[in-house]
Amino acid sequence: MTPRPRIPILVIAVLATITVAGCGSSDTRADAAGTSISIEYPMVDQPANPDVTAVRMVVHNPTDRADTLLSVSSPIARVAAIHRSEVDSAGRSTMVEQKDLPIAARSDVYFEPSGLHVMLTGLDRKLALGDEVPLTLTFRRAGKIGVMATVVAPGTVPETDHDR
Amino acid sequence: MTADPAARPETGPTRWSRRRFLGTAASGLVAAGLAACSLDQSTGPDENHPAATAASWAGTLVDPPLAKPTVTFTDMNGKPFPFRERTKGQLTLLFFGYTSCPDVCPVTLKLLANALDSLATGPGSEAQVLFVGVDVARDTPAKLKEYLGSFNPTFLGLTGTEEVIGQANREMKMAPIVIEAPDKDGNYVVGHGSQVFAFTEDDVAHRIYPGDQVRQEQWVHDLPLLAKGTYR
Repeated sequence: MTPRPRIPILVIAVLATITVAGCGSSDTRADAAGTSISIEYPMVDQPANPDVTAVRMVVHNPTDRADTLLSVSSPIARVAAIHRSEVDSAGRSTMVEQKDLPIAARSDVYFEPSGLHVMLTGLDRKLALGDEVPLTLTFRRAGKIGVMATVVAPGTVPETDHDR
Repeated sequence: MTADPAARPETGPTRWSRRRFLGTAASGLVAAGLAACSLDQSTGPDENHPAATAASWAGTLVDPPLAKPTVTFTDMNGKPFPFRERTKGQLTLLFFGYTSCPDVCPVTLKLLANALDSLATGPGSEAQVLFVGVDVARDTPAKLKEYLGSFNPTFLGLTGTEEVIGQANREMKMAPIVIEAPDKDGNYVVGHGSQVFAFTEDDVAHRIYPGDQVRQEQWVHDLPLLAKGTYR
């Protein structure tokens, strides 16, 4: 059986205006000769519980120097904490706060469903799909980086065939 | 910065990698469900499920099967919910979580909701999703109703005393629920088994699914078969 390319709904949402050849090549970074850290694909899950949600993104560090993500904040949330979802030794799903998250040189750090995420709590407004949420990430070297995250359907919305 | 991700050109510096993003779950669980962009022919466990239409069973076969919890929960309307009596003979998907969980719980519930949407009114669509809110201080019946309603109007929330929930958790052979101490902001993490137990018409669970790791098409494959009472 020939594998067919798949792409998750959330990616479709994010790449809506892009011709979806999305899966068409491997994970190349041929043009990754950037000079500073950037935040790619920032997204916020539409909250099911209006008090809490998660931010997903990719922290892209094209530089030759490692950095550290010290904190994240948002004016719409009372608290923003960097967490990683993990399974403990007894098989429980749990979350572990990540203080001073290392960002290696020439790396992409994925904040992904069932993995790293920024937990936002104490939200001061309802969030609808497509809303924009301002975030500020503070790095030890790169300083503060502001970004607008788009509200999307929660988490790992399962993939669907983009060609069906 | 990246104020408008949709406007990012496809050739941007960070091409979205399906495999990297969804496949490398830090959970340590096998990411079998989270197949990638298959074009790169990765050699991961995805190879068992290479196509968008799942061809084989997901989850884990448990033999002997697991019996249903014997407890009486409290439903979203504050009414008693004797589990065995109320789910008798019905395809039932049981999942323990908490409404303040930002990641694994909503991901699991959204996957199930999308699978049921995909099944529409076909076989398997009658599956009853039951979510046990284990964080009794925050998972009130009203909160459960609001939370689950955002995924699918048929999802039902259950809660109860810590004793009742603890007993049900034990009966499903999961490690004890851990409610951590609140941090300075009053937030606290709850450690809980995140398996989905699929009870078939014979009132036992032959299959257990790693909730947030199951692809939509795997549910779409398995649920109609489970609805027929088959499980292997």
